[in-house]
Amino acid sequence: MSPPDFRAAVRRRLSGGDDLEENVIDELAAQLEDAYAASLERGASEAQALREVEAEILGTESWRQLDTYLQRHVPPVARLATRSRTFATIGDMWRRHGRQASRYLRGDTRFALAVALTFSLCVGVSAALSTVVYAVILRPLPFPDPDRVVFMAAHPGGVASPGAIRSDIPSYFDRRQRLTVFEDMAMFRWIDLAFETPRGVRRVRGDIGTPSLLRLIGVQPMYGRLFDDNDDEPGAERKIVLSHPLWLELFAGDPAVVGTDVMVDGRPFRVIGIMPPGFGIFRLDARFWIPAVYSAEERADDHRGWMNQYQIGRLREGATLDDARRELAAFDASELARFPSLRSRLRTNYHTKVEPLRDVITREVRPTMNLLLVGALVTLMLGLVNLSTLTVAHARRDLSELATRRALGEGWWSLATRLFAHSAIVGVIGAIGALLVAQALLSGLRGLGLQEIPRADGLGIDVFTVLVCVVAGVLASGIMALTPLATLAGMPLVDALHESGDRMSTPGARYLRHGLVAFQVAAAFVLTIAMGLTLVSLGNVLSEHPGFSAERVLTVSFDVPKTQFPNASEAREIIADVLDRARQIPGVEAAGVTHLLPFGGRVAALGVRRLSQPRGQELTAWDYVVSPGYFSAMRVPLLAGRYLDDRDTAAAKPVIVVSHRLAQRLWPGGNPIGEQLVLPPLETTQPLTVVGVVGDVRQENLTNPIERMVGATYRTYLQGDERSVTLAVRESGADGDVTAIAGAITGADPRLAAYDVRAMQERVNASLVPRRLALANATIFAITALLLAIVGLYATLAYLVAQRRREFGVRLVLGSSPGSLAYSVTSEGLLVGIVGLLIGLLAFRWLRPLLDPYLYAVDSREAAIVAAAAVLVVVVSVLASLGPARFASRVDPLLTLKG
Amino acid sequence: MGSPSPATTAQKKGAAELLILAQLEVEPTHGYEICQRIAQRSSGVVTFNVASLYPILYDMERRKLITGRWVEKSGQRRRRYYRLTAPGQALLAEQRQSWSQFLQAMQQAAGLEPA
Repeated sequence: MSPPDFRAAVRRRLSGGDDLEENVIDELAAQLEDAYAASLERGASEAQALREVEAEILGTESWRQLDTYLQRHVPPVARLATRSRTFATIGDMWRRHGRQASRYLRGDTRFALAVALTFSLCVGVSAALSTVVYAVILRPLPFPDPDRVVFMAAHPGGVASPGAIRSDIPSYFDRRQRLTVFEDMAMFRWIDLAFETPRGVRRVRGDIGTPSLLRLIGVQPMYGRLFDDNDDEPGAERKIVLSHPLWLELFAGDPAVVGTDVMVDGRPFRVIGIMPPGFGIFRLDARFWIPAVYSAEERADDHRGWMNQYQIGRLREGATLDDARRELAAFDASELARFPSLRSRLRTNYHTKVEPLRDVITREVRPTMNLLLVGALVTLMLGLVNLSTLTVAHARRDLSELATRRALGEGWWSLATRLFAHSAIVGVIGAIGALLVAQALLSGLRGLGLQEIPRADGLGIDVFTVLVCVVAGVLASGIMALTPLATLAGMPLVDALHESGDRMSTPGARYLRHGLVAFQVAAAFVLTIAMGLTLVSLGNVLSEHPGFSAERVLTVSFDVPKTQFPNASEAREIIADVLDRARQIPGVEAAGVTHLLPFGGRVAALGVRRLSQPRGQELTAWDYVVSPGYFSAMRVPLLAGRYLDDRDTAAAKPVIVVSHRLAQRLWPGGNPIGEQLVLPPLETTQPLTVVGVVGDVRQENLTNPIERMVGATYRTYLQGDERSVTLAVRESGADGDVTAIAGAITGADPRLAAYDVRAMQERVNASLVPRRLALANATIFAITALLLAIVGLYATLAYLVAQRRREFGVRLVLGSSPGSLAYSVTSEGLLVGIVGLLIGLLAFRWLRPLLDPYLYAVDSREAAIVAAAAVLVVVVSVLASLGPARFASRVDPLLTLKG
Repeated sequence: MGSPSPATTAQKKGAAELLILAQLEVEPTHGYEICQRIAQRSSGVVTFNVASLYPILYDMERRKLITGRWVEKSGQRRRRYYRLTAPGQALLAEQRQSWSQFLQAMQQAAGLEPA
């Protein structure tokens, strides 16, 4: 063991202390060290040698004289230096501590490495994940007083549509007149419009709403102005505000476009403003805003209950969410009294839900984010617990040095700064490691589609991440510095001087350490189960058949604008031409168009009823307008009758194909072929005759149960005027020729533009992002927790073995075999593991509901997954015990008995 | 004869310079070693502790009787080794002579036993 460093003691004994030149201190300390070494040589124990040196230092008279002498004759360093005294002293102190710390770390690289790795892993993981959570749900929306902007949605009550977010038009105008809690209100919905871009006509999504919309949000335009209240008057000139990305695309960022016209859906719109980059309200992908003109018919009472609008309001200064809820509840009650018809239409318990806008935007991802947050906190906690365990185990080494210093009169504060300097180095290394881990993790998550989550695009290491790492670093350094001090404070100095570890292994302390490790094992167990369950769920979801085959299908959208092709027949000819060209491309097996694509993000639904049914009994169903060839391209199976084909022209009798589910709903147990359907919005046309039944297709995600699906109708584009379509092409090879397919569109007419090119599989995968993220999280957490549990268990058992060396030596002498000692250590590890399993089981039962949104059809396999996780945890516990068990079996009885 | 009793502070004070110079006569050495040698050679009668030796060394170095040099050995804290300077050697010779005369005189005058 290296001799204690007496310099601090020397400084403390001399009133000139920290001001004295290093040489004076060094020389005196060197002499004390020599005295200490000589004492040891004479056969004194370390404690005796220390007492002798203490006597030397405490020979107060001569030290008092020395002190006086030094003050009188030796110039203090501060008087010589030009720097201020404080600065010199602090700088000197940290230099000294720094030198000591680097010596200290060199002395125990394994410990430093274990600590830095544990820290990097835990803090990196929790920093990355809390960065995501912060950006998505905690960060304020990017506009003034975002908490005052609330969302209003008609909620029919019950569990039927917990996610309802829409309202009707008449209620908006009533509310605007009668509610007092809002400073301003707005209503909007999204709309797809065809823009004439430099590269052809392209459909773009934006918001259409009251002129108050942008004003209410409160973000000023980068150029131009926002709408004013006259902009929605019928007959007013059409106006548009562009988003930053659309402005860049259409006008290459030219500010002079404000005041000029842009062609939208064949009509000129006057550009009045450009919003700054990153601006969005609810649908963050909105690329433009236009004022809506609400006709008297739309405002009329028989439009009540047509929920197709978003409504938001900005609370008056000082008004709370509860005020808004109360006022709207009163308003709802008066509305139901005024319009009894609403009651039957909207079922009972109808009410308006009022929520902060931010909550509505992030509602879908909130469960994922909550899971992330819990995971991040648990990981951080586990990491800190592990650091304490490691440090406590290691404190024994520090303890005798600390005790010596303490005996020599070094103050607690000085000891604390010394220890903090040691741990700060580990903290800094750990924080850098943590940032690297966080960076790697965030880019990994981006690879899984993190940017598909609202507000998570462009996410990387930011101030918040760095802040988390730094705070955790300081916290961890504090724990590492204070643990040995706390241990020292809690035990008699003489024991610490004798390095007698026995006092440190009181049953209480041992239970505490074992308890902490059991807690880690429990966390690892729960997270491993979560990993298993989400993994199996994802497998289950992937094995769900969407009702079509996405493999080798490429999808490309295009629009046939009315301005250039005013007649429906012209548009149909163009689409037919595109289809012909696509089918001639080598390698294309089938091609068709549809205006509604599964997993395409668009919604189109119609009310439908049998001809014989009275009006008002319509069922809602997805409304597809497709071309012949679409079913073959998507491989949607024919169950009865025939597909739509080229015979079904505008001149022929109107026909329709229905999905199996809709057929069951309309004609339970009957044969729909030849039956007639009415689609009320299209009532001017004749009834449509059902010519075929096709398989059910999942429209939005893979997990909606078939029995809750509404079903679909398929009309043919040859009998309509559909102009915004997506071309779906099935290729025979894996590598689709995107250029050739886009060429089929522009080849039919150079004014057409091909956009939104995506493989069908890619669209399906996008719907799986939350599940993949949940799986990734569970996996990251489970692996981290398992590693931590291994480190924690190993450190605790190794410490235990080191403490009980003497006992093991005695047992060996008394005839125990090394194997039996190893067995006793391993079984102790196993016991901790099993206690951890039991705690974990309880915790899992409690936390299980959190996982529900990510699980799919796992019930039958849950028990097996729990069992497998338990086996894994037990195996890991045993593995972690093997090292310490080996130490125990290799104890040299002679050495320990001499000890 | 019982074990020799330690020298008093006053006694040491007067003799300290001579004692230190004498220890450095053969080879340069460091502070702790100087204390040890004095203690050994005086059979434990004259001992210095770290605190009392340092001011004397500091003073002698300032008066250029001895000169110190830091020596670093691997695995050890650096130590200051002292050696005699020419004025130191001269002073040692001078002090030896005057102390001899002084002791002789004391023996005669105070009836001390010869060492």
